[in-house]
Amino acid sequence: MKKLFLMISIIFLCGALMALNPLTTNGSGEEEPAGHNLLTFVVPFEAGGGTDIFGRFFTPYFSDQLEGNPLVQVENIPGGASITGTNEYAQAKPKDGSHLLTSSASSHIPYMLDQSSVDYDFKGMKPIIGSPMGGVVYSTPEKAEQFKEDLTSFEEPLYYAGISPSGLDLVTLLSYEVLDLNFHGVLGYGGRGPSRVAFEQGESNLDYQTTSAYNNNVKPLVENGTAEPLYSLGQIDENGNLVRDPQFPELPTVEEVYIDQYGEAPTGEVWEAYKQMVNAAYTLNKVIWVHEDAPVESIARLQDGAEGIKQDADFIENAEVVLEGYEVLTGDALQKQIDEAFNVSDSSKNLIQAYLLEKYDLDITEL
Amino acid sequence: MIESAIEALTIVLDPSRLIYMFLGIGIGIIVGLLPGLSGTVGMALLLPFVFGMDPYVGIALLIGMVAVIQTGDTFPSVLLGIPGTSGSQATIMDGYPLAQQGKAAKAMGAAFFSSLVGGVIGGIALFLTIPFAEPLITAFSSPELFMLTMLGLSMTGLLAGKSVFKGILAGLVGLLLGAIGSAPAVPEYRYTFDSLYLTQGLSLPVVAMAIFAFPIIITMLTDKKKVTEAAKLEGGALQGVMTSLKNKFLMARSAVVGVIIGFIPGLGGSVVDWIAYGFGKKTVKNNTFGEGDIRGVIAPESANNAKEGGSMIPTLLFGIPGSGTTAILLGGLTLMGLEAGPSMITTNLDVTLSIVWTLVFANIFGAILCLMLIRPISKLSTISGELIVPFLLVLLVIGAYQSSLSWGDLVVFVLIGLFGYVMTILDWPRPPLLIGFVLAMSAERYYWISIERYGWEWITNPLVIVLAVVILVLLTGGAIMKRFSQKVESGGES
Amino acid sequence: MNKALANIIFTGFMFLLFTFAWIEALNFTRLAQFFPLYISLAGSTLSLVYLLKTLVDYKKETTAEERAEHILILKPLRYIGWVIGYLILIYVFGFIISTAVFLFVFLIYESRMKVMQSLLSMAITLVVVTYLSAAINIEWPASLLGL
Repeated sequence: MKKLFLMISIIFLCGALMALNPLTTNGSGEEEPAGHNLLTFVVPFEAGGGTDIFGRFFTPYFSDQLEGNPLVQVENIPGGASITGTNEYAQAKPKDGSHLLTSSASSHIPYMLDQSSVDYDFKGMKPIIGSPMGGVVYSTPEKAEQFKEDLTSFEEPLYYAGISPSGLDLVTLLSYEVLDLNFHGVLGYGGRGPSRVAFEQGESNLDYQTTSAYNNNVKPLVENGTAEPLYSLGQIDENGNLVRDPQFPELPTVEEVYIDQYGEAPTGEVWEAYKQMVNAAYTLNKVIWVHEDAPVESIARLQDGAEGIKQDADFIENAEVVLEGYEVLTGDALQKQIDEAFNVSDSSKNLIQAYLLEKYDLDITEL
Repeated sequence: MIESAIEALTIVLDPSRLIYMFLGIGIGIIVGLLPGLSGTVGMALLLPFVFGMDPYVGIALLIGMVAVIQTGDTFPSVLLGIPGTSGSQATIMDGYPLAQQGKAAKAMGAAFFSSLVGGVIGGIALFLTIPFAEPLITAFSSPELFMLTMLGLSMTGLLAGKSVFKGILAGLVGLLLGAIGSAPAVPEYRYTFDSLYLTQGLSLPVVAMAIFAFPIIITMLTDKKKVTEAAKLEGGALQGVMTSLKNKFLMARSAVVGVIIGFIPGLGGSVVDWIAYGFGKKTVKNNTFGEGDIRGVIAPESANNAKEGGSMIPTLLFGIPGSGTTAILLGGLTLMGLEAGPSMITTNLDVTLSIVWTLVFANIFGAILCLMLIRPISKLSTISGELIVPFLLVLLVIGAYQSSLSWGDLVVFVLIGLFGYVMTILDWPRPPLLIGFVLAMSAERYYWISIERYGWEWITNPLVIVLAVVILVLLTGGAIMKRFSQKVESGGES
Repeated sequence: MNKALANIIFTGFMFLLFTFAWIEALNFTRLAQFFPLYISLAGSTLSLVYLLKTLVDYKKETTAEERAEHILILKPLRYIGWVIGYLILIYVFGFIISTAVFLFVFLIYESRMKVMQSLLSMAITLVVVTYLSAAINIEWPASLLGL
């Protein structure tokens, strides 16, 4: 009987100790000095999405390249189309440099447009590494020919299948506005995959896909003659100009299409708003941040690590697939790009807000 | 293609990869077994490991797990009346009554064998449709998808039970619950009461557990009883296997339903089990579905495993994930250096074929493993309620919390659970609520797109008309059948 | 309470729910409105019809035998209280501590287990649960005290 009692108490003790284990690691994590041995990437999406894959892709390289080879883990905080997790990072995560945020265009656009549920400020964060993405607008071969001849000649609107006017679609929609294209946006599809299928079955005849989806799923269509690219959304260079997408050097930008059609360079508020959105949503499609209040040496360690990652041969090789072949941005160049992208002029902001309200019945300040 | 299939077979059967497949199967069964943990959790768990893995190894692991979740989730559905995952809700309808009659082992034997057959048929279907996938997928435009959601909703008519009023009202509550969160046509939040949690809408695992598990927990305690009052567990697993063999056509038919529903992108496959159950109820002669008819277990179990094969087609070839699980699978493929798209049937055909083989083998091994586990696990049904419930509650709380790692999950679990409990004691049918909830988003989305894109022209699409006729036949047929059965009942025969 | 009456109250609740839903839906913009508005209007009407029907049935044809079909109120409430109490405990003290306390108390008080047995069951559960969390990366609800 005594033996039994002893055995039970031992088991119980083990249980209690094991139960305490996560608590102790949690507790002491916050007391460690700047050279953290555990870095946490906060990803404001469920596991498996594009941003999550992006974050996970970087974890081994952060571990390799950072001084002291820290362990790196990913913490997913899904909800609110990335706003929940980003808010939580900004408000509640320790500001000691041990927690990093992986943001994407889904957090950038609501921030720029002053969506009311946004409780984070990218001005209070320091960018560590940023990665671009591109997009290509395409149509059917017949419509593409007509487009190239005279894009104002469409009597019947082109049907565009999109997801939501306040997401990445916004950039594409603005590009149509810049060009003054006659189109009818049907928004409400479940994702870019379904919208592409809608194009394939003829439900829409104007669509865009981001780089890897375009290369994998639309290029075959172009090859067998059922689709034709019109232009790429472009990238913003360090001087704030729209340039051709390095992944699609053969495709014109919106600016070139405009000059070709109207004989002059695009100007005006819509054009400025478009460039700004391309910068924040595409050139800075995904960014890894750390709290600005983190210790200086901790930020320096992360930034040095980022430079190291950029040079890493293994990283460059694998980045072909996951980062779609774009070069990552780090250091001052990244900071400069971000300053430019997130300083939205009030007139651009008002223009987009008014546009969404008028055309899509969407009051973004109320969201 | 046959040659490459044989080549892929040797790849899959390589012992170093086979080990990973068994690891995947083990995890899949555990994840299926624990209520509330679904394929999404399993995938998220394995994702960190697949980075940079040899694609064949990674696929053995991931597909091995996905394939058997719908097999393992039968245990809680039959034994406790709690859905192991949201894909095995319909199994409860007859599986739980069977367990109450002490026939749990037989029910599970039948269920696992049907899962095996359904899963293998799903794998074969994936193989066979590879050449025709494209025209098939592009056949469904938004109006057709809208009619398909209507077809799914019409199942509520079949599952309404005694009172049509109660059935329809429950379905409407489900649709309303599904409307919580962002609207598809415009990102405006509805019924969120300024809570960020609700902007994403309620999550299916939480609602499914609340509606089925919460009432069971309370009734098990209030009635102070075991699941089965039968003193001795009668019937072995083998008997169940024989029964499903006898119903081979039902099994095959349901598997085909599963493949088709899984295959259609945009429906999500979460209603596969209900649709198969509904069709089974409709087509099986002299059935006592709902009171412990073993055929009511065979139909949904065969379909929910077959679904996985079907849903791989849009996922792999078009990059359109039909569910949370396949969405993460796509991410996993990226981490292994693969991209979904037409290349999966050209340059990466061997990867696709190894997925087919893994599906087939994992379903066979998973079902055999589950069959061996029946004997120890089915003893659960003879333990009295107040001994099981506290542990179950701990599991359910953990499970509910996993769906979005937020307190909102637990609050919703209790609130909807209370609603479900009242429905249970007042004999309101719960399946219509779940079906309405699952289909709400698609119904709204495709209705809106159809109207916005085509006006009312789409009503005259041939496929739309065909689907409308099918729905009418199902509904009126149901009413006629019900009137007939009422006549029989009032005539004194029971 | 008898079952027919409870059913009437529940139907009334459904009616209020649907009515609230369509009143709320009136504030949505056009595109977000149509679906919830259709649904809740249909639900509101249908539940009103059903409510009236059951009321008439109740007045007219309830027999003594039907009235006798009572439903339990206090007993379920007690167990629902256990569930909610457990969640409140988690909210305050965190998952591990609350689970330990809840299991121990419940097993002794409700399941009439012996102290030793319930301690053992509780320990095993905690070990399994923590093992699961480590092995398959499952997370706990956060608590007020941050444990």
